[in-house]
Amino acid sequence: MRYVYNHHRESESFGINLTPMVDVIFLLTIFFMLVSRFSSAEQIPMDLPKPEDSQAEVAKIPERVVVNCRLADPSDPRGSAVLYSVGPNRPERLEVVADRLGLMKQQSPGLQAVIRADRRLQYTDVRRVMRVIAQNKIEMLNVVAHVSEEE
Amino acid sequence: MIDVTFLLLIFFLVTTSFERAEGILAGKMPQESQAPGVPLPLSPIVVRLEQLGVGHDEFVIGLDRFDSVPSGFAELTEAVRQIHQLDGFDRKTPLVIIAEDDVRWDHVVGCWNAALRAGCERVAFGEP
Repeated sequence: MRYVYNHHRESESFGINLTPMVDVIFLLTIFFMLVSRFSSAEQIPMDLPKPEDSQAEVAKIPERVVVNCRLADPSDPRGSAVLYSVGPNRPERLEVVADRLGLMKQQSPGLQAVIRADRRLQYTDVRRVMRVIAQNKIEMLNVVAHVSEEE
Repeated sequence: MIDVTFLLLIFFLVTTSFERAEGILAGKMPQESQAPGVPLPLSPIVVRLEQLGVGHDEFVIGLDRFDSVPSGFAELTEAVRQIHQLDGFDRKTPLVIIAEDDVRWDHVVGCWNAALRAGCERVAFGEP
């Protein structure tokens, strides 16, 4: 009895199946696209107030000016100077901020002010800005805080 | 396409930061003019904030003309809700926040937030 062995072996190509990895990458990309929030340049990183059960709402204000108030040295909240800036601009003296607000109010009478202030600041540091806003006859004042975690 | 997807993935990995979103607490600004911007009735609710020490939580909340001394902002919300039930007071009654200079901004915003939670429709700031 003769057995015939087939010695002809098909040329096998060894390779990694990339399909599951591509699927995972797609899923990750979609996940990050959904959860990403793009911050604007005027949202300078700072430690914002986190009130309990926050009533803050994510609202779009068409005519607004953001005034940032932050600590020059966040590691020393009590001894640090306070930096004031309008939107994405560099920190300026409060008198310059006041001039800017005055010009902006002239250009758009319905202007609203938004104060983004570090939660560790003293009220007196923020009230200086509030006075400047009031002097420029800007009636609506909005304060930035973190929204509640449920949203 | 896979290359583009990789690039997108890396972009989102680098740029995403999982932080709580920012929101806005809206209010009106008292105007520095001869006539007050908002006509106030005779009896607004006045909330006073006073810093007792250098610690973050060393502060006290006071309600003028009312006996309650809330120990926190949740209690302040409840106290203001109870005031709204009294004769002559409702949600339209202005609530004025008067904070001392050294009070943390966090507490001022917390007070404002507590007033909004209580349903106050007019919240303003006053000078100490």
